[in-house]
Amino acid sequence: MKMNNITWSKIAPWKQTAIEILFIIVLSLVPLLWFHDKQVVVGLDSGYGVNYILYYIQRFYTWLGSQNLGVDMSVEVAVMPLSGLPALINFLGVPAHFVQKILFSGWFFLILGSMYLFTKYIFSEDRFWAIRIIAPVIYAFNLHIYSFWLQGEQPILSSYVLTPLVSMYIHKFVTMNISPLKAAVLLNLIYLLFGSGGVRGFPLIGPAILVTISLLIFYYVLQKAQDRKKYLKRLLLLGIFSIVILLITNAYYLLPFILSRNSQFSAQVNMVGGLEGTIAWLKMVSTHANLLNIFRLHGDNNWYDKPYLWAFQYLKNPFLIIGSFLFPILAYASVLLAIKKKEFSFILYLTILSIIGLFFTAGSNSPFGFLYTGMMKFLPGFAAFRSAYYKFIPTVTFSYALLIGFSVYQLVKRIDRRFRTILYITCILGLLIYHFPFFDNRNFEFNKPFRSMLSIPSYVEDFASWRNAATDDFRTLVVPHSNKNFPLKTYTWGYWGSYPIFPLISDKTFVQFDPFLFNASENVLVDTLYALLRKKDFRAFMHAARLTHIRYILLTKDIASDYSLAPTEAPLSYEELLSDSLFFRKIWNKGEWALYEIADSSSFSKIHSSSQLSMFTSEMDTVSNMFELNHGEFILKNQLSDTNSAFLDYIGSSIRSINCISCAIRAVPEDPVIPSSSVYPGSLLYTYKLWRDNEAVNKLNSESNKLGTFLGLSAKRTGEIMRLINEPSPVSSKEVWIKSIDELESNWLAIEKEASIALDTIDYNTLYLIYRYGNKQRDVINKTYTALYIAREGELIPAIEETLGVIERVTENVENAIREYNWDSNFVYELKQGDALTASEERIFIHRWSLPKDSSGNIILPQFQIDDTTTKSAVIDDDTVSLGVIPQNAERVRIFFDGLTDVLTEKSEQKINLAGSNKNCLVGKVMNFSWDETYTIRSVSLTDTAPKFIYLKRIHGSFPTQDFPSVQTSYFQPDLTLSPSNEAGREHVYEYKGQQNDTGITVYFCTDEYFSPTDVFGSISVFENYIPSVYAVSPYVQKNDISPEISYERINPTNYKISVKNASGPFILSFLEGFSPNWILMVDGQEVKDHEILNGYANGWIVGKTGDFTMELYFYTQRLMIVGLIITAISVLLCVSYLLIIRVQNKQ
Amino acid sequence: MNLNTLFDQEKGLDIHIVKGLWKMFMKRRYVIYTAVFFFVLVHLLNKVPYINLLILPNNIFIYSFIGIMILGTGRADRIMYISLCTFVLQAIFVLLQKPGIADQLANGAYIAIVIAVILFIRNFKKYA
Repeated sequence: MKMNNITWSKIAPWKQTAIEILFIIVLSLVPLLWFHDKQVVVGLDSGYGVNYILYYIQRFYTWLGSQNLGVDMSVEVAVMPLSGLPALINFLGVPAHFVQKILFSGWFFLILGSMYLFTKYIFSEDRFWAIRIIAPVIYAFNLHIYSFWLQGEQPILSSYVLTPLVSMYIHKFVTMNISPLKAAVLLNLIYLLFGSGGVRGFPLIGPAILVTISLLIFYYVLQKAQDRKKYLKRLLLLGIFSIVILLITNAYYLLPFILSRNSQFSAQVNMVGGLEGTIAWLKMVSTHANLLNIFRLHGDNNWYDKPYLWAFQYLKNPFLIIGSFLFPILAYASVLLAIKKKEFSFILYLTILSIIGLFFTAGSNSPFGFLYTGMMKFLPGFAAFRSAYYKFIPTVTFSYALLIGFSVYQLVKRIDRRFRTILYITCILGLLIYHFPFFDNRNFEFNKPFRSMLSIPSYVEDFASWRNAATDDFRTLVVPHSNKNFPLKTYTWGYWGSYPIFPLISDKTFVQFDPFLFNASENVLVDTLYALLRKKDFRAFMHAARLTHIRYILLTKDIASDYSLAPTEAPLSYEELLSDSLFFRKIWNKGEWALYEIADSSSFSKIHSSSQLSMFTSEMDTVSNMFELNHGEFILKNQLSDTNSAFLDYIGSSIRSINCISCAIRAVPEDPVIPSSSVYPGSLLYTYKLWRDNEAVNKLNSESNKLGTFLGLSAKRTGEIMRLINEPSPVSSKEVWIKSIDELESNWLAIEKEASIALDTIDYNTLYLIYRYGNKQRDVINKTYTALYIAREGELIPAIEETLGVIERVTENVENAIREYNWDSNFVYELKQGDALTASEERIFIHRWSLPKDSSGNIILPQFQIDDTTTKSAVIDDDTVSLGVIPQNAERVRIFFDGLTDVLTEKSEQKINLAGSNKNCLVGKVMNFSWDETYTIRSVSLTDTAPKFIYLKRIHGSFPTQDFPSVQTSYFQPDLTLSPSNEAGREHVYEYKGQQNDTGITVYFCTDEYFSPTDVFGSISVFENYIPSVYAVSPYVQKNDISPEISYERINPTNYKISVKNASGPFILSFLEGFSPNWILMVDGQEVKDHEILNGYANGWIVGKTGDFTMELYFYTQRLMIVGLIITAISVLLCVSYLLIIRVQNKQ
Repeated sequence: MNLNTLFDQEKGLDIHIVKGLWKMFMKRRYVIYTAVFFFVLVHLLNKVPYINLLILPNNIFIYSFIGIMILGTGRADRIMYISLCTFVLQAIFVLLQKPGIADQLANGAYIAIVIAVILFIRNFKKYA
């Protein structure tokens, strides 16, 4: 054929280059196939706003005021350029729905282009045209990057652009083509453009780092001995220049990052579980990243066990499986096919790079996973690479792309000239066909109905426009409460993301619960707000809303509340609550969203003054007590920066929560563990083991946890003795086992001493701990005793009897004390604060919502007894439940209730059909069920012959998705199966807490169809597991009211001008944005030093100046960022000028 | 030096390979003896109670054994050729739904490629 006779050698080089570039441009248009209508990529980890410009403007500041109570963005500045790209395209007049089409194609072109540039640099001769096409195709069309294309994740895309460009300039440097200074300038300019998000994006540049280090070392090895010194000198210069230029060109984010007064980065590392959490994450990510998979560029943990996902075909389709193995075969064949020295050395380098890449990509997998885990533990900073597969697989792809391109070239070269072009084209087409998901936009629906490319509902856009046009700066609380454990926000129209939708559409502030908020105390505060609303404690809610600057409540009825992965409360419950209450009025409603305004005329201004505070001396998680009293703004004692803080002079009253010391007994704890060890009596190492345990006892001092040590050792010994149950004869001899039994006895004699101290002080926690361990160990030793008795192992029986006697004696003594009261209705509270006795005139209250209710819904008032004296009744005093003033020096109070209600409805007998068997059950529903309450389910086994099962069935709606499809079965499917003990007379206790979308539960007490459940189960009950929330309030002392008039002007989110009028003395300035040491208040050019956390989250300063004056409030790192931006701009100008000058000089 | 050399043998390829392998074995027999000794030692240690807790060093020993075997006996191009063949075997085992065996082969292939690359670098001038 004529076509076959055309060879590239006959085409002029410039035309050849033009055709190659044209081909790359055409491929860059692939993203256009993805976008339909006015859909945009949003959600998942995409990081795109919906309103690009508004989103970017927020990102320009180091304080993000629109999310919850404010977020310090000082370490996130480097994402600014990436957020800026879509905003810039939008700003230039491109319609919003078209922005991503341009952006995605642009990134596709850059990835293809960067690889093309590098390949052209290495394989510049005309005959290598196929490599120049194949390598970029493999590099840009791979399945790792495709997962990120589905979210359009720009940091990953930019890291893909970075690697080939860095390789090119490093290669130019090592081959002496450019000077160290020029290389440093070029590398830094590239990094500035494609640096993947600065410090936070550092792990993404892992491939570029690997390429750089491996190239530098490889060429060092290749140097002749006499040239190595010169090479090292050049390398040193490159290092110095690079670091200096890096610091100045990246100053815009490095300055805020380094000089920030807020050490949030380390706090965030701790929040994700510290080192242990990081390693657990690594193992999770590496689950499928074994060499078998990553050799063929598979291994993404998200692919597996998801038959509905596009990737599943690569795991099942035999052609795709065979195709996947062609990648390593072709890649590693290249080293056998390279003949020329120059080619061979480069191919050898790429092979080494792929090996290094595979090692890092495999993470914790064998054979060298232990090295990677070791590096995580011991190499400072390496823990950042916890997602090994995702961060390093581009290195393998990069090396494979070139190696495969080279192999294909070499193999086709051996074929008749006439067929070569066709073979090359077939190969390219084959690659594109293998990566067919790239051409299918249905894959954006990753878990039907959730999609990463979707149309934003008109009511969402309308709400955003309406709210953005408002001039007030109040916060909006978003209801319903999102999932407490999983940071997901999902909507029925397809949105699925951990990032809330609100900062994407608006610069107004929206508060939404998020378990991944890095500030634990703010999280408790937000959670409390929801709880107050849910429990209709409107008075306390209004107070909490005032302190958190919340004025609106947004009801989002389109939330996917029944999505099984992250269920949320039902929106309808909030709709009823908000519509029925006079405290709220609806001010906007369209589609599925409605906005309510809190009818409270006494809202605080964001910046205001006060002269009096309350102090809360307990932990934040009991802060709801603080809101019940409405004592105005407050500080938390444990959040004060200084125990002598000047803020203490402004305290009007002090409030503390009182600890329930008997509550440990009513909890259903896990069974104490009896450890099993492979080193048991008779082993060579046993003597060493005993010696080590005795050393631990010898080292005990007055501050040690003696009880913990002895309980631990006794559990160890019990675990050893337990071995006799299974194999008494062969190993049991007096000499071997007597040591262990004697040790156990001496441990329990030591525990007895600790128990007597605990009995004197009635230390419930300790007593209960001893009781649990004693019970467990007594059972085990009893079983061992029986086994020995049956096996006639007479020698050990007296010793075991003696030890058992001690354990029983201690356990029974302790049991008498902890069984003194019925702990379901009795609660003992410690009134003392540490060693100090109760202060005079303290009043004790019980939070209303923490009290049990009768069947009519009225709270049940308790009785109480202080230090075992007269019994009194609690009274309702000004809408609070009061125990009155507690006598000075009182130590304990016991609160108790009469007549608590079993919340299980009348039980009926039912026959249920489990898959394969029928059961007879007693069935009851839990009345007035609430998902945030815990319930205790109790029953007693009446017989030890009939099998027993307790099933729980949740009552909730369903939202079928591909990962949690709705399955209809003809048989009964419980949500939870409990296995009560078969022993007659044994009580079975279980605690249950529902999921957020539960509206009720049904409990089934079942047995086989041959028995009647009423003969099998007795004393069935379900009680709400409440603990009265008790708090003490010191007498209120009115301070002089010095609250000057405050007005302010918001310059931008990080800068406020404040005017003060008529300040007659020092006052507290409250600023209701999230606390950060980076907020600085300046008066007369001096920073105000007395800066504390107010209301658990906000900023408070004590301003001493009097009269009329102005102050400036600004966010420190924003100024650093502006300075940094100027340094960056100047340094980039200098770098570009330098490059232009040397270019001109070279031409001359 | 590369695949071509291997396939250029027109006659008596099998005998040639066997003879070659025997020669190689005899030349490096002490290395092999040492490796086998270590391998046996590790397995014996494994049988002793309490030593089996040392899973990590055990793995290192086993992979060192494979490494020494290949280093001691192989030639870079042949090792690379064998590792390419293991990819075909891996594909077969994956298709037969025996991922465990394929996984072990992949580990072996990785070690083999690493060894081949080390040998390639060592003999770089000669090969180029």
